[in-house]
Amino acid sequence: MSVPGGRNVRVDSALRASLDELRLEAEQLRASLARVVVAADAERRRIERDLHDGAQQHLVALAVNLELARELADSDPAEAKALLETIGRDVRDALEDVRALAHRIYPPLLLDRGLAEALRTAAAGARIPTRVEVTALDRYAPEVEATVYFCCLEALEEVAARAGAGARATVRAWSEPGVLVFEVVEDGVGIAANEARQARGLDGIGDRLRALGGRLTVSSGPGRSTRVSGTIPLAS
Amino acid sequence: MKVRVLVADDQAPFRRAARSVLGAASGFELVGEATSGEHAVTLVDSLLPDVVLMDIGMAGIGGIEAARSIAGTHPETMIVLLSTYREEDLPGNARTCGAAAYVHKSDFGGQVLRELWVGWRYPDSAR
Repeated sequence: MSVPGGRNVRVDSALRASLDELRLEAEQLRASLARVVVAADAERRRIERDLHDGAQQHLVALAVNLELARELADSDPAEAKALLETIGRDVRDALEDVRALAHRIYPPLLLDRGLAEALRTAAAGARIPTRVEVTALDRYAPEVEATVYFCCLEALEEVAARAGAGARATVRAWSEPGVLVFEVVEDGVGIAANEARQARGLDGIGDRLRALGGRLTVSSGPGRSTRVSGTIPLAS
Repeated sequence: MKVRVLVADDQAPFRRAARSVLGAASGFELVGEATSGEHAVTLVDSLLPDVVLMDIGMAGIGGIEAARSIAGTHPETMIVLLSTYREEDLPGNARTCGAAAYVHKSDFGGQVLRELWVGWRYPDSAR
């Protein structure tokens, strides 16, 4: 027996469900956008702090010691010479601080050689032993490569922060038709569900991916390995 | 008698530089180094320096609040605020905390210190 208007009821219901879904997505996007703005501000503050506490302090000491060396050049040449040693050290320290900061902002290897080499180099300095399996990747738009790179690093940080002793990690990245995929897998204790929700780094990864139309997936649990994976659609 | 100076800065490079400057500045001697505002307040109580070179941007109560505290309990001590910021970028309370002067860190040296000390110790003397 057919119900008069039954088809319209089903259509209405489907439309309402779609509308609810769209509202939810819009809400998530708004929250994501707000977090991106907050994260960008925090990053700017961190860079300012790094410059202030790093290179700037060495340059200040350099200025003070240079003036002092100038004053001592005639009256106490031996002391002036000793000061030049200190000045040389401050110059080297300032250069190293600037180099490290520039590397954190955007690693030159990523720009020059692409994801595979940049990830291998970054993994060598990770907090847990990390293997990188990235083969035959093309070059992609800078924002795509940067997103995968920084998401992998952030994911490595998250899993390293929670990994037990002896844990290891693997970073993989590969392309499939129309999509670039990456995953960071840790074979340690895993992240408990409540910890995964609190892991702000994972929020940041999700936000970065959403900005490019991508998705984040996290699977973990106590005693299981943690897998943080993401996809980014590639323009055809 | 030498003018006794305490340096308060959480940055080792500037403490080292200040050490060199004071080592070469006749009439001044370094009597202590503090690495926080709280540390500076404690050391001033025990060492009773004539001059405190106070970095503004330290953790904890920071240089400005430490200066205010020291100026309240040791008004005879000359406090010189230091930082790497331009003077116009300093917070307003830097001018009201009781410090005698503000010096950009890169301008710090024996001559500057000497002029500030003479102006503080002998305010009526010709500069």
